[in-house]
Amino acid sequence: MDLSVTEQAILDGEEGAGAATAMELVVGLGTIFGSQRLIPISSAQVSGVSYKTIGEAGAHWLEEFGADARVRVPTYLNPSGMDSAQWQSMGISQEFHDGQERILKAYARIGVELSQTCTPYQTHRRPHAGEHLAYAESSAVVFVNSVIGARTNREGGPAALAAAIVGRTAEYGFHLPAARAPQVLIEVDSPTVNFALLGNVVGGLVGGKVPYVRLLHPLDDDLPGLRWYRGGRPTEDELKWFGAAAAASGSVAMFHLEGRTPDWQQQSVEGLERITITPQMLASTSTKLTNADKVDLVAIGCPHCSVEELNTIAALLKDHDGPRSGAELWVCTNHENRAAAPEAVEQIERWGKVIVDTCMVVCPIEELHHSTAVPSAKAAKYLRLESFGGQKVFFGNFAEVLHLL
Amino acid sequence: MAAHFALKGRRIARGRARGVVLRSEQPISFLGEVNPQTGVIEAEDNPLRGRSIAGSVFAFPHGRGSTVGSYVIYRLKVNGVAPVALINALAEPIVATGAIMAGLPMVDQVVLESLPQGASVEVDADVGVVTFL
Repeated sequence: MDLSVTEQAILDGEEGAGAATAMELVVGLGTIFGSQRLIPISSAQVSGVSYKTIGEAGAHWLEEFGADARVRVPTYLNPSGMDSAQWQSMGISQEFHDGQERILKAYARIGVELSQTCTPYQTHRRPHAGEHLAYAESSAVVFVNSVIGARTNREGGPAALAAAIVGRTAEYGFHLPAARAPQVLIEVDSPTVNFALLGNVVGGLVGGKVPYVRLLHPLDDDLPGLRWYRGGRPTEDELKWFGAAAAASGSVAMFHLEGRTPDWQQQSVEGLERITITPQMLASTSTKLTNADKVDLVAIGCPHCSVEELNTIAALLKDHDGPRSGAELWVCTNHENRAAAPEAVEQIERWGKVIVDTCMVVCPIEELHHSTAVPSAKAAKYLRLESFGGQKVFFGNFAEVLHLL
Repeated sequence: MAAHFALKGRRIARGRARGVVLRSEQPISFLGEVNPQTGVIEAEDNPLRGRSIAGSVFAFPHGRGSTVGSYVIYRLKVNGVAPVALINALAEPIVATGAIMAGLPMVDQVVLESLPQGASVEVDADVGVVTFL
C-alpha cells in the first residue's frame, strides 16, 4: 500500500503509540482487502460500547490504547449497556454500572462523543451523500450506504475507532463504485409488507450480496401500526427496519430500492439472479421469529426510535383500551429524539419507560425479563441467543406488540 | 552461519517472535473456542481440543465467528496466555484486529502444510518471513 509521508510518520510513532497502533490497524485491514491507498473520512461511528459485549478486556484495551490517542474527525458512539439516569430501575447492578462508566470515560478521553445511539443519521449527525465514513454499527452502515448514498464498509469497532484516530480509512469495498452495484434482484409480490420481516427474509436469502428490491405492488397504506402517510412508498423508518434486519440475518451492507433510494436509476439489473418474495414466505418467517406465548416486556427501538415512531407509539397507546396485562414497556431512542417529542414521551411514560443511551439488545435485559415482544426482526434474532439474554420472543408490528400491554 | 529454510508470507501485524508451531487444520473462532483465561482450545470439533495455544506460534487457516473474538485475543495477551505470533493461510479482519490490539506479530499467505507441527520457527512479521531454526 502507498502511504503518504504524513501517514508513514504516524505509523512510525511520531504522533504517539496510540496513533501508531491505529494506523497499523487501518493499514493491516487495507492490506487484507487489497487496498492501494488511504482516503480521508468525514465522520466515524464506533461499536463495542456495552460492558455486556466487550467486558473488562474492552475497558482495559480502551484505557491502554486511548492513553495518548485522540480522534481527528467527529466520532459517534453506539448504544452502551445502560441509561445513565434510569439504570437502577432497569435492574442493572452496581458492578455493571461501574464497568460501563469506565468504558464511557475511556471513549470520552479519546474524544469520542458519547452520543450512544445506533441512529446518528436520524439526529443532527446525519452524514451527506458521497461522504466517506467509517461506521461500525451494521444497521447504520446499511442505512447510510443505501438511503443516504454515503460510503462505508462494515467496520469492526476497533477498526472504526482506529480510522477516527488517523482520520482515514483504507479504500476498498463500498468506498468504490464496483461493490455498490446490485448482485441479485428481489421482487416483492405482496401489497402488505412489514419491512422488518422483509429485511429478515432478504438477508437470509442474499447473505452479503447487494440486493436490488422491486415492489411489484403499491404499498397498502392501512397497515396496522403505521400512523403516518406514506403515499404507497416505504417511509424512512421502514427502510431503517429493513436494513437493520437484512444486516442481522445476512450481512447486507447496501441495498437499492427501486424508485426510492438515491442511486437506483444508475443500476442495471440485467442478467441478475431473480428471487420472488411471496406473502407465504413472509408469513412463515414471521411465525418462526416468535417462540413466546406470553411476554413480560414489550420493547421497541431497535434501531433507536425516530420522532415519528415516538409519535406513532403514543397515538397507538392513546387508543389502547381494556385491562392491562402487567407487561412492562421500554421505548428506546436517543437524547435528541426524546427531547424533540415531549408530548409523545409523556404519553408513553404513562405506560412505561422511554430509555436513552441503550436498547433491549445491548443492556443486561435478563436481569429483569425473560420473555420480550419486539417489532424488530434484528432484536428478535439476537434476544433469543444466550449471550444476549436468552429471551423468549414475540415478533409483531407496532400495533400487535403494543396490544400485549 | 548456516542458511535457514524460510517461508515468505505477508505482513499483517508488526513484530518478531520465536516459538514452536501449533497448527490447527480448522478455522478458529476465538470467541467460544479458546478459553481466554487459560489459552486452551475448547472447540468441540477440533482435534487440538485440550491443547493450549499459550506461547506457541499458532497457525490456522483463518478466523471465523463473532467480531468479539478480537477482544478475546487481547484478553489472552493480558492474561499472559497468548501465542507469541500468529500465522494464517488467509487473514480476515477479526483475527487481524485482535493481533494488532494485542501487539502480536502476524503474517498470512503462508502455505500451512509447509509448517510441521512442533517445528521451531522465527516469525519476522516486519518483512513477512517465517524462518525454520
